Amino acid sequence: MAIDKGRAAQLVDAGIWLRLSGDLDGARKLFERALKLDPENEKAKEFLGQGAAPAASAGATSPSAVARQYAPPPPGTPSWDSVQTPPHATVPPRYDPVRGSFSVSSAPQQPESPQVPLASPPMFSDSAFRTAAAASHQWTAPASAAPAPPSESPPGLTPSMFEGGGGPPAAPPVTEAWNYKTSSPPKGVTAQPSPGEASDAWATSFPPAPKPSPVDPNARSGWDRKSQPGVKIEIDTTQGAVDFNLVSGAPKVSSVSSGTRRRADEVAALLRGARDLIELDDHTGAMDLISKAQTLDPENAEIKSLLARSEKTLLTMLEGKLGNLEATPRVLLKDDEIIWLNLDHRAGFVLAQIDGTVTFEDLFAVSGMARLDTARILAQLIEQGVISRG
Amino acid sequence: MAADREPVIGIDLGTTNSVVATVHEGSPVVIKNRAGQSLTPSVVAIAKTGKQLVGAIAKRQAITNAVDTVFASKRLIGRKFSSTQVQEALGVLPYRVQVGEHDDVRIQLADKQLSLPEIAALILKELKLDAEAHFGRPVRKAVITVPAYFNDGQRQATKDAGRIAGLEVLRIINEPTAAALAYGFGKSVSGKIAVFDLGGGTFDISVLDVGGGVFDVIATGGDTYLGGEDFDNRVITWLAQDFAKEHGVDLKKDRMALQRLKDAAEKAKIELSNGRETQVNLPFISTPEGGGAALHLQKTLTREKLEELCRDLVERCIVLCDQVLEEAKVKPIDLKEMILVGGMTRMPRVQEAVKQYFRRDPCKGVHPDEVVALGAAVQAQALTTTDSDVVLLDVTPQSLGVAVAGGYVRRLIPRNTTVPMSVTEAFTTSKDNQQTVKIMVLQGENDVAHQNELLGEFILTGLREAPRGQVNVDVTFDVNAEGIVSVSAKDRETGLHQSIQVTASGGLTEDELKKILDEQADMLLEARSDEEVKGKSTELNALMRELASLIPQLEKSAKDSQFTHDAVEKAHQALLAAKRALETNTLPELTRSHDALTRTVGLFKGMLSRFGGP
Repeated sequence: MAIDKGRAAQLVDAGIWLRLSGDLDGARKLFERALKLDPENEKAKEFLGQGAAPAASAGATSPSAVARQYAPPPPGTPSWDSVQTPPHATVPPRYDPVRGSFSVSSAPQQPESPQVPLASPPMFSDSAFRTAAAASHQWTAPASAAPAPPSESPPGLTPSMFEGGGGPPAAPPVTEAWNYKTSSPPKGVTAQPSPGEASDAWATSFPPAPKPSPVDPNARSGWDRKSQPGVKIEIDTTQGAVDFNLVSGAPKVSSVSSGTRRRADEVAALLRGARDLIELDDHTGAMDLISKAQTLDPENAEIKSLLARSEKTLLTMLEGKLGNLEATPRVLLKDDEIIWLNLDHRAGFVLAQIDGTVTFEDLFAVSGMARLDTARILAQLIEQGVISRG
Repeated sequence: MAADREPVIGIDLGTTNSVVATVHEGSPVVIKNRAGQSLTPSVVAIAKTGKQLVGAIAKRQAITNAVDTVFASKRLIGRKFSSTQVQEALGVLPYRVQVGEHDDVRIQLADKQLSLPEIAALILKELKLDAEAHFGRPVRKAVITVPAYFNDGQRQATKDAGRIAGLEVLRIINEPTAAALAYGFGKSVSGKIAVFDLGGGTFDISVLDVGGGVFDVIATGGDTYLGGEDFDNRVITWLAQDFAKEHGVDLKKDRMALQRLKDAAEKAKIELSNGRETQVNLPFISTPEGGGAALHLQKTLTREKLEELCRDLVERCIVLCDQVLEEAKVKPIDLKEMILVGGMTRMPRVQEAVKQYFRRDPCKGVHPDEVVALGAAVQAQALTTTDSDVVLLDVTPQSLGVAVAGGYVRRLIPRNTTVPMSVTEAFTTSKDNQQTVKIMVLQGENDVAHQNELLGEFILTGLREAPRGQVNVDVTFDVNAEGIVSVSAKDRETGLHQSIQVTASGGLTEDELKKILDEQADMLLEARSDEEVKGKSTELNALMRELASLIPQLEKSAKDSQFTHDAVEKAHQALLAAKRALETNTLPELTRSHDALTRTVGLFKGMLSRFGGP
């Protein structure tokens, strides 16, 4: 039973990774599996609980529907993003053709329209996604630049994700900037653990961040003024914590540094999650985790093998979506409809090559990108009704 | 052309674009490529996927895959690596140009090192395939055009390219000559004509003296680095600068963006030949650093703006025309006709400038992009039929001579001399008691020896000792119908003689050429085998699907039969074997499995009809 609990915690851990990188569907699968192993796992429940909100349709839309979705909002319509998130706090666009679409956390949201824009990710939990985005904003926003609570709660936002309820927190828990693609999750991720969760893998992998407190102009600690200005570290003396003692002699240096060990643990956790996802046939999610693991340990043979396996499978799946690779796709939208799509420049480049004379195989050759990336973009464009299969 | 006559084609192998044409029912016509276009970009690439690309598809990725995309290879063909032209080109070409064993030029394309004739052969092969698709049967014979200034080495390299492509090159003719032929000037016009050729990458201006079936190129000049691409680059720079001002993003640094800019600039330029203004619309051209919504480029380009951006380029063309006409001692008023060649001559500003300078309207009626290929087709037709009234004689493209004292050249055979021909001239010693004489055979138009191409050299020894000028040596040049030059030197008094045979080299030795041709043959066999494997795999897949659909039908129709049970079991085994055969992807395995499945499917169908199934 203890093994199950530990395993469940690892799954939740990997699930959170996926969710942070935008793969909500993959994350949901992992949370569900974690709950099977440990029905009491609060974190899994918590994340899945938000999944109960009805997911907005993100399927293929007709060209006219696309145009409607991307019609500019009427003058005076308040921009959801401008109220909810600071402009620098956007999550980079993520592309998931197997299940979903181009996803950008800061994609233009149109609260007045019930339709989900073409570029929105296929959300198992719209609110959870937004909450994740909001959480990332917390990590990146400086303490003084905390987003003001919106005057109205946007639809789908689940206040219970935030401590204290009732909407986003008044102040960010951690002030350090964090890039989810390149670095470990910030301490802020664990800054709001539920009571009793201290023993799970998530909490042990990423120790709780110190509780932030308002800026104390009289702070005496050197830390207060340098590395974390404005944040006072509170020490809980009731739990046996003591002030630092003087150290006599040099500290012992172990053969494996704690950083290396932590990285190895992290890689192992990511690979376990990846294997689980492969079993669940979620190769996109698996690829995300494997890629992350590879950045931590580039020479790891197992990672390379898993990556190759997932890439191959994913490519087969994506090519299957394209159909006959010798067919000639055509653009189904007009120029003035295309500009309202939410594409990045790479997708824009591929789209620009589709002129009714080139086949899918030709596009793989001219794109200048890896075959997998091109296949992803093409599958996405097909799913969204931007191009035909030929 | 009679239906049963072997098809022949004319090819304009251009620096930027190539065109193939033939004569159909007495009129020259362009053969469109398989994409329906008249022009095939002279671009060859190995894509990042490993696929070999030729033509428009290669051009589309020329910027994003610059290292493995070869364009404008015509500027290098038949030249020595150490030549000034190649050394200058090294600085501007993004692909890998290397030196070959004989100071020839090689290009590293992905993991292969190719000679220039091999690169040109890939383009010719593509055109050959287009022609074969047009005729529905193999095409083997062609006439290929080259610039008038090409020397024997460059012409030989072009011939080699044709040979590698599987073509018998009936003749190499000059581009301006082909253009004149397309207008039928060999028959109807006698006198001087000018050919103004502004293509994608080069500008050539030639003056021809036409008469009696001979097209004498009396002067040619131009700039091998002036063409439509320079006009495109002006538009690209204008678009990029404006975008940088507005968004602070330099699109020229982003290869994908630059590729799109290039395509759009060319398109806009072409549209402005007919319209007054055009829209440049490039959605999602760039994603700002640090993320955020992708940026669009939307801009209006007017004809006036384009002309303003390219004014100096047009002026340069006219300056070059002036130089060439002066060299030919011809005034614009002396010209009988004026022919425009190359897509850039459709630009209204270019046409106006030409009209103003030559003081006459250019010839109309033939598409400037196609005129050279049409002329080549006319010549190809003339060479393969007896009833043709077009006579085009082979001529020496450049003068031939020997080096003489003081570092100068004595020309024995002037350029445009019809071949075969022979000429002898007497030379004397330049020093007292000179016992040997070195004969250096040169090709070119420059009076200074080292500015010409050295075709070969030999030494005549054993001359009698005598004061300078007292010993006479006869030097004889023979050029046969194949263009092979033989040079001999004979001491008049002693009768001693030495000789050399000069065959123009395109950079490849005969052995290298043979090796390439052998490899081609092997690859052809391999391709055929691949095709067979592919075909067999497809058939096997179809059989597997058919059998898989028959199994449940049979189980349903006769589920209690032991025989059915056994048959289904065997069918599953056969399917498994077929799957393995597909994995091996070898013809014997696929064939074996194919035969087995064919039998099984037949058996199942028979059983189903017996049991009353579908």
